[in-house]
Amino acid sequence: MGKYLIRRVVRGLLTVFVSITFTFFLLRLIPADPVSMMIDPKMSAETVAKMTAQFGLDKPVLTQYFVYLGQLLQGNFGMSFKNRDLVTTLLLQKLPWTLLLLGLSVSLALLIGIPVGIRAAKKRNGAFDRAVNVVTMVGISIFIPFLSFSLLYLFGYLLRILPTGGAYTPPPAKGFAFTVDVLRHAVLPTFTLFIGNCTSIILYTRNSMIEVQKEDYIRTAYAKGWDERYVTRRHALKNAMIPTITATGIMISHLMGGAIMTESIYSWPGIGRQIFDAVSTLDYPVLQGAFLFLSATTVVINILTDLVLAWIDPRVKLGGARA
Amino acid sequence: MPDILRFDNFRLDLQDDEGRRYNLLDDISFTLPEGKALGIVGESGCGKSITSLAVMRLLPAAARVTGGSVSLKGMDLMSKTPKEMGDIRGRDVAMVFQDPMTCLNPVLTIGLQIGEAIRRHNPQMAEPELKAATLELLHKVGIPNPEKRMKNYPHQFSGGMRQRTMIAMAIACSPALLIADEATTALDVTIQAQVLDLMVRLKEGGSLMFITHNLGIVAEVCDEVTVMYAGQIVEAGTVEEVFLHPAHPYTKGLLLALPTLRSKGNTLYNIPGVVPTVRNFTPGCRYAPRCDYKLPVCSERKPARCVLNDRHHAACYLYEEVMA
Repeated sequence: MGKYLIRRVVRGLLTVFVSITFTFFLLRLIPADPVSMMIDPKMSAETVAKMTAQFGLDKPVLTQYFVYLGQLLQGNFGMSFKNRDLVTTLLLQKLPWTLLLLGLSVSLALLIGIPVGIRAAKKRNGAFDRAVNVVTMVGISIFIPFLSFSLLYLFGYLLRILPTGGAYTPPPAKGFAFTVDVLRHAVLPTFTLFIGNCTSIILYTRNSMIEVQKEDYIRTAYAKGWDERYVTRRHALKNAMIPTITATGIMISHLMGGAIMTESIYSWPGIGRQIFDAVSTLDYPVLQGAFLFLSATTVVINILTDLVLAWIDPRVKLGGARA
Repeated sequence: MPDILRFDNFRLDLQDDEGRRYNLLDDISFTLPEGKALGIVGESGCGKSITSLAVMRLLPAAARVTGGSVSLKGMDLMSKTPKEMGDIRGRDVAMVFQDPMTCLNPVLTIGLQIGEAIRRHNPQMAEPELKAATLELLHKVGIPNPEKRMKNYPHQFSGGMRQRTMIAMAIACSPALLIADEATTALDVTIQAQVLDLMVRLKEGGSLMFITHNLGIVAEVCDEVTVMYAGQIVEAGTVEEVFLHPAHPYTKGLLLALPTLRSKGNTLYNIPGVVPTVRNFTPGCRYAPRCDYKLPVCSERKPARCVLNDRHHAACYLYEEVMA
């Protein structure tokens, strides 16, 4: 177990290293110059040169790369080109908002998706299952911006019952009123993310439940005299949850930074929105920091997913194949 | 002697995905006297497993019962509600399935899986009692070091040990009837003999129904035998009668095809043709297309059951004429 964890962490660090290297060079391959995107046409060539030097962009790319790696080793993630904030501070400011959205949408997706998936699998091709099939088909194929703008138009403009953007109404209220205000702002982005996530949870749960129900050990449990409720709860669920857990892990790592579109449309002040802003201004340090953070969380979530799977399925030997 | 199990003209169809129906079990009738061991033999696909699943009412979704009855201890099983059936399974009838590799839940411990078999019909039992009963069952089926082994998962058990576990679960509530569906087929020969011996020893005055294609097993452990071919019963009787004086051409063929010490070096007899699948069963006697003694009437009408003596009967026109 200890040895396994060390191996996983070392491999994870390697993954993160490869990822930051790719990010670093890919950003510099973009045929635009961050300095020219910020300067005033009236600025003198001198000021431009000074700014370029200040950003460290005057040196050769390879030198920049090693300087960056050196900084990272000292725990320095750099400073934003745009407003000279520390990247760490910036990301830590955004992280709680992303986590809030992620927590709400993932827990709702699991809370609703798993029971719906189980219920649909119970009577395959029954009325409930067919209704679920239609809904999930729509949920999978819907275009997120279209959904978001429709929701905004309906609830924000026509009905005027929900705010159109941001995470709270400035200036922030105090105490309970603030919580309510934030939750009201979170409704639409949460719902948008929930649609896609819940759909995949339903599909994974339904399909693996259908598969598990055909297993011989399910028949053995019935042969002991137990009823459907007990057999589902005791024998089918644990086995059927294995693919769902894997899917949830992947979903969480995606949401860490993958909510770029949703966060941008609803002006939600999370990491995804930050990435969108940083791309528009070619803010290299912020982008590098954000992608480093994403690769690190993906690695951690993968390890956690494997630990949970090994805990559920005794056949999974950590660090080895299935027994 | 009262009958523990009784099939009366039981008919069952299989329905495919397009809704077409094929008759599989064609008027199955037999009885199993209390305390006896009955062997049901036949090739794969002859409906012997479906017959045993009908007793448990654990038929696959494609199965449609179209007539007749199955009664266990005088109870008509087909008219029971699912809840009543749940009370019967495990308590009055229990089953050991064919493949011990897939019949145990991989994510639950052996102890839990045996324990729940006891608990289902003894809900008042407290945890320490349940554990003691589980240990005793493991001990009974000959699993060494049960205290430690009950915490194991199925993948840590060998095939023979898993089948012993299956037997422990089946006998947990001392059922009046124990069904073994090809219970030793997946095991190697030495383990087969041990498991077989175990089942016979543990039935404890209960009755046994053995589903197998292995005639040797039938000869060794059964009192009575029913021979099935393509969903029809072709011959039935006591083991001595059927094995020493086989009447139906199919039974004769089966016995001729068995290797014996004397057959060393000689080519074994084989029945011409192949076993039909349920989609192409023929009318009349379903064995007729492969039969060496075929009469014109065989493919037209199903032969009636001809009583040869009080311990032996066969469904074949050869004997109808003899008796007429």
